[in-house]
Amino acid sequence: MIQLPNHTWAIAGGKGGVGKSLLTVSLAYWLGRLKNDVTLLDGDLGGANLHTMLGLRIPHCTIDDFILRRVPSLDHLLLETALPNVKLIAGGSDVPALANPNFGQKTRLVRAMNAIDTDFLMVDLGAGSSLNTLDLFLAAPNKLVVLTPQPTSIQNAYGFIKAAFFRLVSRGLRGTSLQDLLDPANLRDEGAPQSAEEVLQEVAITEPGALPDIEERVANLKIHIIVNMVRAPKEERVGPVVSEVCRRFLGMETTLLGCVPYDPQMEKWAAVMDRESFVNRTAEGGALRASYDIAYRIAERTKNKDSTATKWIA
Amino acid sequence: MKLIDEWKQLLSGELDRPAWRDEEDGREALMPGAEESHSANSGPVDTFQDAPDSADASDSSDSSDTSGSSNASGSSDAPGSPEPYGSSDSSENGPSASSLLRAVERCVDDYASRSEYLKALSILKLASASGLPDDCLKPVLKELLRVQSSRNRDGQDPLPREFLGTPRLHIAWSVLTRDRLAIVPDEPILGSDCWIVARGTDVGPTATPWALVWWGRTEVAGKVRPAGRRTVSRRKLELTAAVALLGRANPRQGPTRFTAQITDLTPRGAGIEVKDRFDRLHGIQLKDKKIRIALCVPGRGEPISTLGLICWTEEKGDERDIRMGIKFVDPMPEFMEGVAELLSGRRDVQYLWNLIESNIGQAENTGKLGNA
Ligand SMILES: Nc1ncnc2c1ncn2[C@@H]1O[C@H](COP(=O)(O)OP(=O)(O)OP(=O)(O)O)[C@@H](O)[C@H]1O
Ligand SMILES: [Mg+2]
Repeated sequence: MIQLPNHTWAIAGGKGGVGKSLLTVSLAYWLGRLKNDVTLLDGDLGGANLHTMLGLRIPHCTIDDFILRRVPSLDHLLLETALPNVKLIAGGSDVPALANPNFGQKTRLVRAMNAIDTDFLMVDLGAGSSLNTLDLFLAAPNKLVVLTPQPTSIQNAYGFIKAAFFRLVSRGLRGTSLQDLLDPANLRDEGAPQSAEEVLQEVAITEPGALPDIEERVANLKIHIIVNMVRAPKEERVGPVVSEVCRRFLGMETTLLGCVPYDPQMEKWAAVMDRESFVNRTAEGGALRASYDIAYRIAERTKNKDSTATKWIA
Repeated sequence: MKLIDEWKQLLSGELDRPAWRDEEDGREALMPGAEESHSANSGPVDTFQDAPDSADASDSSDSSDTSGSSNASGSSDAPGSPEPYGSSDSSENGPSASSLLRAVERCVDDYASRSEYLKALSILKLASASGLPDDCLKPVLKELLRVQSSRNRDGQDPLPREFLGTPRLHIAWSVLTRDRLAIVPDEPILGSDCWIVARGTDVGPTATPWALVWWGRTEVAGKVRPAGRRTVSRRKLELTAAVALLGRANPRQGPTRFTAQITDLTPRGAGIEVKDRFDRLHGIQLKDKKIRIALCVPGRGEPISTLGLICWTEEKGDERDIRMGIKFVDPMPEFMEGVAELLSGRRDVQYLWNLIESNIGQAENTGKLGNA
């Protein structure tokens, strides 16, 4: 699978309703305010709603138009939003079959995403760990997982990270005798590996030649974590908790990018979502302010990544 | 089939081992590999090194059963080499190898049908060590790995898939062949990664009690194998705990201490079993007593400990065995971590829940533990 450009951030979370979309919008707002061109892409291929948050009731063009080849490039789909410097490629939901694009369609989409001229490409992914979501997530050089302190959200976030890990490993096994090892269809079998540890063991025993490549893939899998809707200081600990489990069981480092407090204003606004008032209505609340810090870090990291392609700060 | 008969004798504890005292090195010779088994960081683990039956087989069989004993003694010539057995050319001993294989299959089936899985696995291990090709033995293991149980398995062997830490054939085979089996003097402290497969007493003048011990310490790809030895099954002796009763029965004495077998373990508590040979616990009202309980986690230097509460007790049989249910009281995260390590299955999810509980403390979700 081709990679997305260095300025791409994919936002996922495993669980629905954890605030991925609101956070994406907040981050885009700040990145725009920091004088960057920001392109939002609604990657929730089944249940797009980013446009609603940006005040567009029925977008006149969506990503479906690209997938169905009605337009030659994604540039034709860029919609102005109420946020300065922020453009949107709306997700489509009118053609259900397109919620599940095939490999060719996905590849074409990723190519086209590479061609967008922008400073930041933010891809808001749907809930769940479908293969499409995982593939888009893995194609993005910057990966963000949003979770809330709710235990189910923590578990889903970890589940998502683990699914991404499995997906990545299974790509490294293509063409080997273990290529079906992590096939989702087989994962329910009684003998299917249940943990990353088991997967690596099996690779080490049966396909030792594939191990270095897989270990390298895993080493390069860097995921950022944001904890949203934090109501008490101790809830900030869920970030380190997930990091710890990832390190220990997936052998993978994750970075805590920040915490966003629970903000009643955000919730109130989300209930209405009137076009002009996103910033006005939520400016006072802690959530938008906290997302400034995160946006700033995102800008820093992206810059660093662009200049020293492989060097990664902290 | 002589070889098989000897294995069966060994596994039923009926084997007398006069050869022991003939060994020059005395004790050391009794427990080959034991030293390394307990050293923390010994790198990759060799294949089956001891072949405890081999000395016997070559000593006691008058070379009438040529294929079996010659292979067996061959195995002790080449301990620890990565693939010392399976690949030997079998054209000469083809027929007897295949009859040996059939005998192995029957024997394994026999043990498995009685849920004596450790013995069944030991037979496979012995067969592999005496030169039966892996390819023939793997299907037998495959069958064993299929065994699942819904019955109450209290006091029984762990299922093969639990014991070997995986239901997957390749890994399981590798674990099986890399783990060690050895005959050692049957002493109380064997370490928590030991599983006693059989016990017997040597008929010599000293009547040394011996144990056939399986060291489940194989690590693959630099990682400790998942469930295997860490599965706290309901088998005795794989995990002991040191328990101290808090508060004194008699103010002039120190706290009452005893060691106990852990028969059951969950993040919330443990079931333990105490042999009260000297009636030390007799007359003490154990229920509702506070205790401190310490357990050893394989691979960790320090034991982990926590306060606990005895929730129930039960006297077992006419021996002085007491069973107790312990609830952990305010366990520290390190303790929970250790417990999570000891638990098998989806260790990561278990561990995650434990961390959530100890860090964020959302008690309402604890019901999801384990099946999450
Ligand atoms: N920081 C916050 N404070 C208060 N409420 C919040 C916050 N962030 C999100 N919410 C609430 O969570 C709801 C869901 O947010 P959002 O739609 O962004 O989640 P999502 O993860 O994108 O959901 P989906 O999976 O359906 O796409 C919002 O409607 C809002 O009420
Ligand atoms: Mg959303």
